[in-house]
Amino acid sequence: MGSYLQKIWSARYFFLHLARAELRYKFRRSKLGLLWTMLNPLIMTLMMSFILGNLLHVKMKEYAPYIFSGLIIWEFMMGSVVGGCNSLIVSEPYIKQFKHPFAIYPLKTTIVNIATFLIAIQGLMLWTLLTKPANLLVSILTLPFSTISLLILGWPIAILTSFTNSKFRDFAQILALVMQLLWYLSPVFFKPEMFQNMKLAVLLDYNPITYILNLVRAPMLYGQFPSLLDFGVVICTAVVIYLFTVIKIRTSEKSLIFYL
Amino acid sequence: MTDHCHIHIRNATLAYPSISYNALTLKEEAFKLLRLGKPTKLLCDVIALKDINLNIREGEKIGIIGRNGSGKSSLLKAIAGLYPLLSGEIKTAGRIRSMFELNLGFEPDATGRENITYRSLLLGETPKSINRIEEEIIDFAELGDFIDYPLRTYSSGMMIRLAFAISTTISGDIILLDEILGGGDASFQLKARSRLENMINQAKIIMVVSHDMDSIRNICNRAIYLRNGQIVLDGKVDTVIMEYMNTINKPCL
Repeated sequence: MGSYLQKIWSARYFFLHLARAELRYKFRRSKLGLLWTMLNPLIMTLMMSFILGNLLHVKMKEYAPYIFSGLIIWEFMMGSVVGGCNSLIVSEPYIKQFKHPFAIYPLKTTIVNIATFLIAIQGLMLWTLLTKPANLLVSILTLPFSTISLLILGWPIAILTSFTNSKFRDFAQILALVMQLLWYLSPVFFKPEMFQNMKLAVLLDYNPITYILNLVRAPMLYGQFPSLLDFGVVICTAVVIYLFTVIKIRTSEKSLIFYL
Repeated sequence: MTDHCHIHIRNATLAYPSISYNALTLKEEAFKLLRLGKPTKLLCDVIALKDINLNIREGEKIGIIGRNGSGKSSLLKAIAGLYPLLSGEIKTAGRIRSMFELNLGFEPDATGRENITYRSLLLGETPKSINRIEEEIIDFAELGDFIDYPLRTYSSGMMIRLAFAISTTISGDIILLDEILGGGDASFQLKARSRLENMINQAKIIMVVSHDMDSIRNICNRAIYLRNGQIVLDGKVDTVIMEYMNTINKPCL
């Protein structure tokens, strides 16, 4: 595994360039360009909090940042899980030209997702500055840690899904459905208290996504450092996924090119 | 005595497994299980290379010839480490630079200049070294202002010139070329030839796949004739080409 990581390191210029280019080309010929990355969840938040706020009788000022933070974390998760699925398939022209470790292509996807997340979260920062300036310091201090946590979680997830989907092309469709289910079972838009009267509430405690969401929400919304439990669950989840990823790379990277 | 750069191939067999192109849909699988309808004809594994043994030392310039589908490109791709062998082994020492399908891996929406960066980084260059070679590539490709236009505006000849310029600027110990000798108009061809010679003189090992026997005669000092994934003849360029030309005129065996 050491030499594998070394090869990834020596390909760093290549995948960083690919990530940069993807970010640039995503909004090619668009007037607002990269700004959409922030505007999209912002406008979405306004719509959602208006509708849900009325529907569930929650104060919009409180609810909007909750939705916004849920939205950008969820976008990151979807980008890693479902977006990761195609990261090898679209890189086929490169893969058939030069032997780089396959893991660099899902890594590229993860870097793009992280960049998107970091741009979008500026909107939340701005909100914090305007409404709860006291929370800003904690938010800035914890952001590097939560970003790194997302990176070490998102990369192996994207490796797993891209490797699996290259061989088994129905996988992306199935995953999208699973993620939809997971969305309903996670406090992405709905607050935990809304689950309380249901038997489903217990699921939130066993759902790693709850803790991933806490990483961003605790500082930005409540001015607290995320708890050790939050970090612990995220890191443990990452470690478990890593073990699967190492096995996956060992067993299937060699012959994967035949399926592309 | 061992050379600094070498390629050792022992009993190498390369097969493209049928499982990757025999994929059945669920419907077909159900029909197969119930023995309804016509059974889908399953394809066999494609054996691209059969039990190849080859030793290549520093200074050798090898031309690989053979009919379409004889395993020439597969041999280069196996040496480049792209495809895993079914059995046997390939050992290489030296930095490998491979130039396969030239148009593959170009980004049509990116400018010529950006594509230089893409491809050079893909082939293992660093941003620093690209700065050094970029102007040289642009000069040689003679693209003028087009270098800052997206690639989709290029003519196919311009594309080939750019690809050729990039590929021949990036140096390596072992160079694997797959059919990239042609392309461009007459004046470019002449320039291309001298540039290729330059690159060939710098490389320690060269392997060229080509159907152009004159190029093989000019460049190579050893030739290998492949048929059905096996080496038919390996030796002096003229002898091997003669044998190939003799058999190619006879009906296929």
